[in-house]
Amino acid sequence: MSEMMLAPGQFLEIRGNLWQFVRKTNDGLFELYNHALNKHEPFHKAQLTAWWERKELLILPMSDKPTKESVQRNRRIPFRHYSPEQQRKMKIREHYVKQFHVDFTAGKVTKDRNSVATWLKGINPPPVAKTPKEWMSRYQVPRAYEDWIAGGQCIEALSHGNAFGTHKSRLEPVREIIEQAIEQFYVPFSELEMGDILNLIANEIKTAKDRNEIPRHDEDGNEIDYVPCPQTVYNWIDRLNGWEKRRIREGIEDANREHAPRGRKPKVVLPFEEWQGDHALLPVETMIRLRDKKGNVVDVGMGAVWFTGFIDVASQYVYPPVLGTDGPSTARSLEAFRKALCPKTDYFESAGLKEQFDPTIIPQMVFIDNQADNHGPDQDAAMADLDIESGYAGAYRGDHKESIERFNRKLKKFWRKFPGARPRGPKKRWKRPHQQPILALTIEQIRRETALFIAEYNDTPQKGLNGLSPRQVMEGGIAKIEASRKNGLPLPLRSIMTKTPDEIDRIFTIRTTATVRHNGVRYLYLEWSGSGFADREGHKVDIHIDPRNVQEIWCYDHTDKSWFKGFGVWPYYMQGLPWTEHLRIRARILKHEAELNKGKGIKRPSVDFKGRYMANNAEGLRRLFALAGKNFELDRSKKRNDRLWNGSRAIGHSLDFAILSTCATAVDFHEGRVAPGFERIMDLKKEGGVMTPITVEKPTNNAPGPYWETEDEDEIDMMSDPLARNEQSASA
Amino acid sequence: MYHVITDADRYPADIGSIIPRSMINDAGGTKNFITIKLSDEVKLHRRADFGRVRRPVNGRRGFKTSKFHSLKGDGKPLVMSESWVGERWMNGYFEICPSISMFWDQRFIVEIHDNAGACWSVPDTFLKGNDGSFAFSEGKTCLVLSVLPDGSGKLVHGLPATTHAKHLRIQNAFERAGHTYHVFDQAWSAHPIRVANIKMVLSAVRALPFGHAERLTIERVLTRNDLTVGECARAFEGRGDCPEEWVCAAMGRGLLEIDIDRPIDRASRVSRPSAPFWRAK
Repeated sequence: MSEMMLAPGQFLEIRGNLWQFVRKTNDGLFELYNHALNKHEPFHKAQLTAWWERKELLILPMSDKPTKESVQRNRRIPFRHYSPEQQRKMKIREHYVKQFHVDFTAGKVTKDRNSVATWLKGINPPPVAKTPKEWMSRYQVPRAYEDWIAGGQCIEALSHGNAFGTHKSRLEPVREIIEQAIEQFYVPFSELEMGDILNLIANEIKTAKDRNEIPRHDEDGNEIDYVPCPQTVYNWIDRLNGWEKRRIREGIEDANREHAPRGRKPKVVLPFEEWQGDHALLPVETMIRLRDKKGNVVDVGMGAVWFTGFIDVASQYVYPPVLGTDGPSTARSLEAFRKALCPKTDYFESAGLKEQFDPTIIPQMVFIDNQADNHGPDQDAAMADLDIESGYAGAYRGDHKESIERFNRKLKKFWRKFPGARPRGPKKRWKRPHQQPILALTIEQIRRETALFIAEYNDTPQKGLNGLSPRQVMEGGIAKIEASRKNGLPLPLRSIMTKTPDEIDRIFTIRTTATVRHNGVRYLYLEWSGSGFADREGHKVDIHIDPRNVQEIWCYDHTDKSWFKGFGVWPYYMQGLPWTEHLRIRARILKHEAELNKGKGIKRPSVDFKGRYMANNAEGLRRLFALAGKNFELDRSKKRNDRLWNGSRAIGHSLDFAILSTCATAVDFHEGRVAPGFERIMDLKKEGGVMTPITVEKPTNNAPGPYWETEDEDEIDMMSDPLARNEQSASA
Repeated sequence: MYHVITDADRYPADIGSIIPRSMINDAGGTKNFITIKLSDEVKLHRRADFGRVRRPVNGRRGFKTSKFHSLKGDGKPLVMSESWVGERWMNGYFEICPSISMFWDQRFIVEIHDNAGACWSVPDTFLKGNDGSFAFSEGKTCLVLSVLPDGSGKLVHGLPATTHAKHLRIQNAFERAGHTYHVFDQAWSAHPIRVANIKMVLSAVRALPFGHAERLTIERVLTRNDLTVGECARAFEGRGDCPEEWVCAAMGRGLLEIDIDRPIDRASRVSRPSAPFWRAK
């Protein structure tokens, strides 16, 4: 071995371990460094030469990076241990690599892919290759060549990394010993370190060798080193059954609890068996166009858009969603649910979609998030009216409603591709994100694009649906249900059309109870009257408010057991006003009034909404505009304000207050104020301090137990007990 | 004003110290409870407003939950775990079982003082049969891992030893008091065939307006005990696309019983409602 062969930093492989040459010491020894053991060791030249002669030393070619571990591992396995198929593949690679070596060292070809491509044209295909597909490409050849060189120019270096399993493990004779060491020492005593375990194993192996329990020499007569490397032991530990590991460490009770059979949910096969719904924030921003103080037109961003939608699990059919800037709420969920259940002609027309499939079937179960608004009494009541079971996913368990989460991902991906969408967040690896300015779109544009995407999604074949589209699966499913119903098998199929439009209007509502006064009923500033309230003064009525439009309500009189309609007394304000927008306007007014009353020691001002805001149309409008920002002086003689007046979208003779409310929020954003409902912290003292715990002072006994009687019955059963009635009338 | 005697006066609360206070405080204290003494050993506590005594399972613990409004209850929703062997299909079965006229979930606290000391429990369901009898039922299912001599494991249907002993103790105390307490196997009702049948009957009850006229129609047909669904469905010929659905709805209304151990079809056996399962021996 000449001394010139070793340069500082060069790697050597000695008896399977990787060493690096550091320097030649003053005594003429070779100082080598082992990364794994983190130690420097001097060797004599004669020592190294002896190893080299015994083929236990290999000087690896100088390179920027050390040899790949896979190559180190593979070249230790002799060629004859591989299966014939593997051997054939290795021969193919060797065929290329050997020719490449000749031409590469002669300078006829470089490792550049184009150079290799031209070189490959003049190369005869390998004789053992069965199809041209097995020939190597311009990318594969340089890589294989590097491996071959790094592995000492032997064919073993060209084996595929995943080839184990085709050969028997060298450690097979000592498998028992290693497994016992793991089970008896490593698992029960987790404080033992890997070094200790390896020592244990080594001792055991030595004893076994001494007793001649395991073969000492291989076929070539070399002594076999059975001590496994730490990674092998870790791999074997991983292979241990989880239950077993738990049982050994914590005992059988814990292991059983941890690995209890959880059962398996059967696949949902029929459409309408299960729906899933969710809210998601789309990565697209919406904006509103305003005129500022100086008369310039400005676009004010209103933030990202919330999506609320439902999907049918069996068919993956997606129903029309609700999109808007207001966050998840009962009103939104109800609106989305109503949209999904009822005929969708208007929706399809507004998006310009033709010949769409329009299922209007009531599902049996709806899975939604386990959040407060989905547990609310209004949504509960709607579900009870429709006789639908509600399912709630566990906290942080997206897999409990996997279908809608999958669709959310798709929709977000779609919007992220849209020019001007919000990026996904900085990528840490690979490459910098492509910086693009965020462009806000109008909500109409966003709705239209989403509708088109969903229509396309429903018509796109999916692999998981056996190459059918969600629409085809749904149509097929309905056909299957109908056919089986004709054959006497009543599979569930319930159309929303079995309910009347009035019933549907009453179901998807915000509900409350109020007492009728001489001028009708009121709730949260809003008042309703109408002929239905005549002669019902003092009655308790259930109010059902349509969250999309608070103008018309349904009332149910508990005394008369009858339904009637109520009408908003300020159609000017209430016509077309969504419930959430009214709550926002109310918050704005409350904030304003609280500022007026500052320092007067009034905790919650009673706001004369009727007198201050609704008495006079123009005055009310002026005040509401004033709340939205001082720049709106509603002096109609000024041309700018006249334009504003005319520019506001009119419904009949009245203004659209929903637009106004949105504009007001936008103005706040633009002027740098915090709009009501967008505050960062919650005011815990708003309701006068801590909420009092619920106490049942007088328990209601309207739900008597099953077999004991109650004596404080308010109502006397007139049908079954005539004697009781006589007594009652006598005492009266 | 005079004092109206209520349940609270007839059965004043007498709650032992072993009952967790959280359940009492949730209802607003002891004054909102009444206690029914079944025997010297067994006491039942229920809220005066007959609300749930135990907070339902909820998603905070990472479970799937489910909620539905029973036709047989008092309008309060049943909240339960929706895992495959959870309470969902047990409650579904109670909902369609014609021999159960009403059922309530987790409304009672059972307090037991027997020879082994004191213990308490909140049974999952209180069932009322169509024959006037009633029973407490606890939904459970489990596969117990028993280790075979060769070291391999085998899953056996049953309860773990401690759970088994606990429920046996409660059952014995109820038996000595002359009442019924059963552990209901949730896996029985969660069998795929039964689930499909439960779904079918449930959806029929929810879909169809089953009134007095239909009641009379079906009762006229129920003359024998060896009828089939197809035969009964002839009474509803021409009503909708699937007359068999009316027969299913009749089962949900407690008028007849369809064999739910095999998939329901026209050949399924129809009989008058049998005795409640806790009476059948």
